[in-house]
Amino acid sequence: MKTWAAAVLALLVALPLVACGRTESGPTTLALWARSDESAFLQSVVDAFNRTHTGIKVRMTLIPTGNFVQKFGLAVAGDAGPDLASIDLVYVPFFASAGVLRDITPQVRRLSYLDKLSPAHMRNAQYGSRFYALPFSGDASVLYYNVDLFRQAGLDPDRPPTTWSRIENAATAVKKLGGGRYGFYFSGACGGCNVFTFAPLIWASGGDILRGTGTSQQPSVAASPQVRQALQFYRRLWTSGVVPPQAQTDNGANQFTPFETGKVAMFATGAFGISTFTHDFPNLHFKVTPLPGRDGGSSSFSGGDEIAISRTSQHPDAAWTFISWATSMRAQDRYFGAAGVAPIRTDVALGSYSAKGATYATLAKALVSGRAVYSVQENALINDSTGPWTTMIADAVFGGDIDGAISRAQKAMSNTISRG
Amino acid sequence: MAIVLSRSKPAPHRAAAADSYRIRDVMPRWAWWVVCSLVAALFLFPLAMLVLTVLKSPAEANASPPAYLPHGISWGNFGRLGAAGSGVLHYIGNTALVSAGTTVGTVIVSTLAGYGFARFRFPGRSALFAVILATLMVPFQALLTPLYMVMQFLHLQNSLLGLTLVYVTFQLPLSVFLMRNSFAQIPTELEDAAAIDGCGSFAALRRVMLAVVRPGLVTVALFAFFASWNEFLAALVLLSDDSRYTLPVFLTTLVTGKLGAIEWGVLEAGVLVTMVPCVVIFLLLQRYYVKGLIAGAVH
Repeated sequence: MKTWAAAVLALLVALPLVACGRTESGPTTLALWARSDESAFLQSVVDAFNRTHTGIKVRMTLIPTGNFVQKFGLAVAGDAGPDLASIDLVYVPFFASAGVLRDITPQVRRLSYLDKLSPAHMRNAQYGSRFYALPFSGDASVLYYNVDLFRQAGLDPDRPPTTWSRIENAATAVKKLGGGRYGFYFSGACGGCNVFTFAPLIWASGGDILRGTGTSQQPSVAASPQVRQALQFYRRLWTSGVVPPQAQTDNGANQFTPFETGKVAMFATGAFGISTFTHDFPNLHFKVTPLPGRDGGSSSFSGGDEIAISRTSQHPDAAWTFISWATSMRAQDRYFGAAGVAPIRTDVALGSYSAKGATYATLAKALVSGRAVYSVQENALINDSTGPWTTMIADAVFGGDIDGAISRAQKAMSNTISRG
Repeated sequence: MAIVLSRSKPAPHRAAAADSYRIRDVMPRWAWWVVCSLVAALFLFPLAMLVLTVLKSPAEANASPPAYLPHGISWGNFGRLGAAGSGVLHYIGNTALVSAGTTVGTVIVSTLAGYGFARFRFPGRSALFAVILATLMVPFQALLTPLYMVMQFLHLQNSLLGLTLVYVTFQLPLSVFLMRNSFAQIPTELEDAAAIDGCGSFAALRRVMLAVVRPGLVTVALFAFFASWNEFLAALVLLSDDSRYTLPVFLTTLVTGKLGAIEWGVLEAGVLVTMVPCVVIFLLLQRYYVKGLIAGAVH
């Protein structure tokens, strides 16, 4: 008896699932996939588009951030991809090279505001001189510092550090206050965090981590003395005890915690820090300043997302309508800039966005002049938690073997790139 | 050590026979309670921390060094769970549907298969059973891409029914093994008696055997339920529609922030919601559980 009852139950369970048809009529519905950490502002962007367009509706699906690459790649390979994908700009060259994105070069070339789009995004949107994406949402790494801790340590919050040695001095001064306070924080085991916040230190000093593009690309960690100096700088911060111990094992999960709790004076992160800190930690008084080079100058990792049409999309024209709307001045100003995301148009970033205050102005400048890593192998080289970049930082900063770490990273990166 | 001690001083209130070497009998009653309470506290500590974290505000949940007790209760984390996507209840519904389907499917198929392997002789029986067991050794990740293609071909991609079928398939090797052992340990005389009363194989299975293998059935059902309730990777890959996500996928989209930062308060609230049905079901059915696991092992 029980078996039959169970079989009937199984049928009942299955029926409504089969009944879920997927036929849609009326307006063209576009599926947009985005990583889940974009959820805060992206829904309002999509809603605004749907409000103002009658023939096209966009439906957003959030993919867990850490699984986006895997899921999107698999779906397009299986002809079940979305129409539109909002992709972390560092992964665009990889997806373009894998042939999962639609070539949109003709439409892009016709845009009247092509020269107003973030240069770093535009570079990563290309693969072999063709365009496969357009900038969507912006971000830039800057140095956040705690105004109260600076004051307590006798430092002038209006004159933030502009060189590495000044960062060290400020960090030491705050550490001397005692009471579990620290000078500086970074997530030591997070490759993505450290290309976002550590690479600009190298760039601002005139060094680089990769040279060239495509098959002629070579790692330049061994050839740039600035890489060595930057690692030594982090190593000094670590050994002098101005960095909290959890920095060594933090894979990014707890990156904001030390700064948020007001125990750390300096911490580099992106535009999203403003809304997070202001919203959840109203008692935290912070300001931002550009990430400096060794003896001055500054640089930034200009990050965020690009938007692309997948190869398998049945509605490329409607998808392009969304893209051109999303990159328009009005949308970037109203729905991106207003939501706390850095706009990817230089005219908006340096205009209405900068007008919101000094913090925003600093971020906008960093975005416009910032750069990004361009490599088809970005994930294997940089973001992978066991990849050469992450290993090099761990070995050099926490292990102390700086020269060994650099030469091993150089070799491992060369191998990865040559394997293609 | 306690066992050696108890040998020289047998327990006063119990018969010295059988299982008399019990630690409990040689300890003073209060000491037994103290030890047990300490052990219980040790195991409950993570749960208590979980509940406390859920009730904290975001700032407190992320405090370093950790604040052990929240200053005032905040329901904000549950609020976020309820407000995100289609609301947590919707995803609980999806997960329950998939888990129930998986449990029912697994129990039916593995009961029939286990009965067959235990009671009928047919050519290639051992080889077939070995093949079924061997599939336990293939990691799911290796099958992901082909599985995706197959589901796409069957038009079961992005469907909860498809996901249920995948889960049933993954549960089967172990479940068939457990059910075969459960049936194998039943004396054949029982079936013979049923046959004398006029039952065929199928009727004997329905009327007699099922009652006897109940511990095995419950174990298989529990395994199937827990596995499908908590599964993440297959659900992530096969479902591509927000409204069809299961709880684990929904929670992952909810708690990971920029560059992998995690919102602990919301995560723990989600864990709590996820955990409750599992705990309740386990408490209700645990008496069958161990019996089912060791079925056939001590025969």
